[in-house]
This record gives sequence, C-alpha cells and structure tokens, in this order.
Amino acid sequence: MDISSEGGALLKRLMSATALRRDVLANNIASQNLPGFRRREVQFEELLASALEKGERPKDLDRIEAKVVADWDTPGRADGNNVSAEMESSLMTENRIRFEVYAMLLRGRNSLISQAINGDR
Amino acid sequence: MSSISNSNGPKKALDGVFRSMRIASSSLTAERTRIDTITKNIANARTTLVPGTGEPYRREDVSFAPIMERAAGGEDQFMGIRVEEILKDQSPFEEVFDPSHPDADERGVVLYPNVNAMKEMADLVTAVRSYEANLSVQETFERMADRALRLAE
Amino acid sequence: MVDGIGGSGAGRAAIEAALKQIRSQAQEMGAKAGGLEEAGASSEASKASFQSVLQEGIGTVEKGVEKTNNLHIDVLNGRLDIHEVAASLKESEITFQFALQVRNKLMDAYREVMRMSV
Repeated sequence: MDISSEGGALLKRLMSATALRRDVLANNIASQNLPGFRRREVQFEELLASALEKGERPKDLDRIEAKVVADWDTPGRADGNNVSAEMESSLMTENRIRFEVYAMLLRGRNSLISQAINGDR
Repeated sequence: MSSISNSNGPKKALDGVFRSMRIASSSLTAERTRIDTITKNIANARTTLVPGTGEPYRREDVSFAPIMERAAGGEDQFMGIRVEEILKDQSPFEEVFDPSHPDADERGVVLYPNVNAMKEMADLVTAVRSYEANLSVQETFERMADRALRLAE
Repeated sequence: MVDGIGGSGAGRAAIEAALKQIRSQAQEMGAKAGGLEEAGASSEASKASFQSVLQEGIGTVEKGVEKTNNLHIDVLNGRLDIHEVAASLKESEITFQFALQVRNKLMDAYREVMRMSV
C-alpha cells in the first residue's frame, strides 16, 4: 500500500496532452474555412485505455505517447473541409474539464502526502 | 471523433460523461446547416434564372438522421443528429404573367422559385430556437461539471 | 501544496512511515492499556477491542489510500463520473485526516496517563 510515483507522472502527462489538444483544436477553428482542410485531434486517453484493456499494467503505460492524427472519418463539406466550429468549441469545453479532473486527481494524491508529512505532533 | 462510428463503448476517459455534450454539439452542427440552407432559400426567393441550369432557383431542404453508436452492451446508442442529405424541393415553380421580364418565355410567363418567404422565416425561427436550446444544454452541462469538480475542494 | 514529491518516492515513504507509526503505536497502546486495565479490573475483551478498533481504522485508511492511488486508472477506463472522482478523493482525504487526528489525540491521552501512573 503506497502512493506510487508513476500515477502522478501519468497524470502530468495527461495534463500535457490536454494542453496539446487545446492548441490542435484552436488550429482547427482557425482553419474552418480552408478548402480541403481535414480536422485534427489528439489521441492519448484512448491509447492508454486500450492498452489497459489489453491487460497492460499501469507502470507499462510509460512508453505510450500522445499522437496528433487527422480525422478522415468525419465527412467534409463541398470544399473538402470537415471542421465544424460548434464541434471544436464543444471539444474545447470538454478538454478544459478533462484538465480540471486530472488536476483534481493530482491535488488529491499530493494532499495525502502532505497530510502524512504534516500530520505529526 | 467521428460522427458515424463503430466504437465499442466510450473510447477514452470520461467519454461517457461527455455524451450529452456530443449530442448537443452534433445538433448545433446540423441546425447550422439548416439555418444556412434556409438563408440561401430566402436570399434566392426571386432568382428567376440560375446560371447553367436554365431554371429558376429550386428550394432546398435538409433531412436529418440520428447518429447511432454501438455501445459496450451490443446495443445501439443515440449519439446525436447529422445531416443526411440536402434535398431539392420538387414542388412546381410559381408562374407569373409578365411579358416584359427578360426571363419571360414564349407565353410571356416568368417562372419564380418555389420558395415561400413566410414559411422560410417560420422555419428559421424554429431552427434558431433549436440551436439556442442546444447551446443551453452545453452551458448547463459545463456548470454541472464545474460544480462536481468543486466537491473535492 | 507538496508538488513533485511523488516523483522521488519520498511521498510514498512519508505515507508508509505515517501509517506504520500509527499501527505500531496502536499495538503498543493496546498492550499498555491492557496492563492498566488489569489494575482497573476491566475485561480482556475491552483490551482486545481497543486494539482492534485502531487496527480496523488503519485498514480503512489503507483502503482509502489504495483507492486514491488507482483512481486515475478507473477514470481512464471510463468507469467514473466527475462527481464520483471528486467524492472519492474527498472521502479518502477526510478518512486520512481523521486517522491522524485520532492518533494524535490518543498519543496525548497516552502521555497523560503515563505521566499519572509514575
């Protein structure tokens, strides 16, 4: 029983991924009128989730990196652009909430450590 | 994040949580296309000749379809709305007798688009209300999420 | 807020040390309380229950810490909602706080009693 260090490291990487995602989404919004532009997204949580599903242990998740991929699934309009400003804006909100959740988890872990150190009398 | 997908359940952390956001934003996207179409109809209500067609502007309509995703249990789950197709309204053009008009035919009749401006305005109001309702859903969701986050403080 | 300590393992050591200390003090106090209670004609059962209550408390705290440790995995697997995560973190925090406070109060009482019996 312990507060292991790799959980905190993973949470920090998740927070970095949300920062990357914010930039990618902002770029999508800026490119919403570019003919032929395909929206891009950041994959990280899904890569981690499928690794865990396959039975990998949390400490082996170190090697998984966040990936920026182009979205070819979402159909494009007549000019080939498949960015919807509403969709990107919605994902921005989601992303912000994700960040808050990861930060909350990190605070929770550090709070226990802090209590352990300071709770002495 | 695709609009039509064969994923098995949530693809990543908190995806299930954000389902109502996704449904609302797909609705917003679809309604925006409808608003664009209505705007186009209104703008072309008096276009007697579209270049290259030999015809007046033909009214356009948008048809929606639900987005269904296969969830973990094997059942299909409603994940939002998408535009299925943009249809050309096949109802007849309006005939107006006006021999002096440049686009009058041999009978002196001018064909006008099958657009009823009043109906388009009514549709526009409905579409905008739907758009706003979905925005409201998103705002509410965001407020609820922030409240939930504060539980840990 | 203590930041980055988890990365060096010092945080882990701190929590382990704190809980180990509580556990051994619980044992010690249980034994001593037993000795004192004999003088005060209390039953064997109450000595055992004093110790076991403390041990049970430690078990609960350990489970809470374990849960916090793995919470982010449950989130990644898509099994938790936001409020569930928040509530769970708060719960573990309160449980841990409580255990530390109980330990501190017991230490005070213990010292008080030891001083009296000299």
